[in-house]
Amino acid sequence: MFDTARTLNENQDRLARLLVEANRTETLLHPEALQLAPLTEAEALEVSWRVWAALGHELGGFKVGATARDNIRTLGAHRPMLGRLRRDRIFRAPYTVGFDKLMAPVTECEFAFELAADLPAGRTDWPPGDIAAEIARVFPAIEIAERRVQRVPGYPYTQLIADNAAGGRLVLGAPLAWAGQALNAIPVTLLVDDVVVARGDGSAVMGDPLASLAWVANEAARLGHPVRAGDILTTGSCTGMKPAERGTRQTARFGGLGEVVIDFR
Amino acid sequence: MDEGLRTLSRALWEARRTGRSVESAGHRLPLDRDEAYAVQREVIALSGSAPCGYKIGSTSAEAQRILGTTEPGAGRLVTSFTHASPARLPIAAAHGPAVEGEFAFRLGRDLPARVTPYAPEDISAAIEAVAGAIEMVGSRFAGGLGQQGRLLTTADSSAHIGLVTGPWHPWRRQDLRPHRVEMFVDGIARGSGTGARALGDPLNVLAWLVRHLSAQGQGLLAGEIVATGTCTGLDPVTPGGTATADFGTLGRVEIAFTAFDGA
Repeated sequence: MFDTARTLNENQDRLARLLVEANRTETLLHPEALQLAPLTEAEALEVSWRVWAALGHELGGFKVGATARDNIRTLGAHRPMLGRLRRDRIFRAPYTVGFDKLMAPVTECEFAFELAADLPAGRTDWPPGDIAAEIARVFPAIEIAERRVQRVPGYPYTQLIADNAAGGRLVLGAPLAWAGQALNAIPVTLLVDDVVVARGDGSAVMGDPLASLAWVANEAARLGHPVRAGDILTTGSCTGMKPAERGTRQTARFGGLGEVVIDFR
Repeated sequence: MDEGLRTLSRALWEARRTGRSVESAGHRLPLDRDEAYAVQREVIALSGSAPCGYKIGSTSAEAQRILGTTEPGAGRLVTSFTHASPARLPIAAAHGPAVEGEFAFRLGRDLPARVTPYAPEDISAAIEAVAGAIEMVGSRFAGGLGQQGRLLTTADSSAHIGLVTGPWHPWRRQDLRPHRVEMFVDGIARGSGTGARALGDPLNVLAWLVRHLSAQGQGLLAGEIVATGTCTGLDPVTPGGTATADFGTLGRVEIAFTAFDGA
């Protein structure tokens, strides 16, 4: 969809190069050292595409950031933002990861979905009811959002869009036994080393995870990636954003239906 | 990265920025190649400058002997230390600065990482332009270039001070092997050579880089510059002096050297 030849302006090109390098070398960028002019959302999306194309990873699905009211306030975003998930960064719980491998990690407890069939290209107006019919499986999940730039307050949200909307890793629990019951009523609890640190439910994400799922499907199609069978789509945090810490265990409990465990070594 | 290497990285960046030197004694030093490259990358991150290509060093047996290595080495070019000729740039005598006349390529299209090696004609086809260039090298560690060994040199941005490129010419598969380069320092003829001094052909150096990067799952991006290693040996320069590299039909590269403020 985007021409990956040299069509970016100088500011975009600079940010794209910095982000490609940061991704490849897993070295965090220092925000105070970057001298970037402000980016528009459209320019940020072009940078995000260019970086993704240059890195050459296989696409495994999508994440959405800034779906929850609090996240929008914290991140300064005007609307949700879409990120691409690497297929090789989608894991099954229980998951253990060396903390030093992660880049500015924060965790978010989310409902993730796998669709049964490819969505038709060109359709960008899915309502939540229709998208529900396409669902093959629902997973409890913890997203480990990662950034390539050190976190500072007031970081421009368009630069976050360019940085793949803080896409990182996704850890899926066993599929939920879902018979169509309302997902927004399922309580979600996050524990760190057995201490509850956050509570929420599916209503945090656009009122209902299915609403967020429809948004993801529509936005992915608009950006030129219609969702395919097997893609994993994650729908935004029910529990805010919790920085991960070395040497801790995080557990996400989704009512009595399922849980996800991650050990940060 | 541990705090000791972070401190070393900050010291190296400050030294590069201000013209001072770093005493290696008393610093946590990199113990292996991975740590050395991590320090190099952290210095780039501290600079906030965007990467824009690679310089290749240790293309000659003599340089390899000095640095204790058996193969070429690649260091990162960044935009704030890459300039167009004519340039006026600060150098620090304490860094033992020297100049090298090299051929530089600029890519017109991406060369993504690949398992199967690129054929030479595909590499050549990705080049958009060629220019003469002068690379300035030196050491931010006290003791000068050649005293630090491979790991410290790698950590210290592969001894790279800066690159100045001459006019870019469209790439038409020119044969650079017999193409002569002459270096003048302060108006006096110093080192000279031909493109053959760069691993037999500057294209061989680019092919080496592409293989080296592919093995790490990395490629080259359109617009990146690759400086392919010295054809003129190494000639010392001083603040207040000049260096000119004459690339014949590819033009001249000129640098006037100043001192760092307050150095």
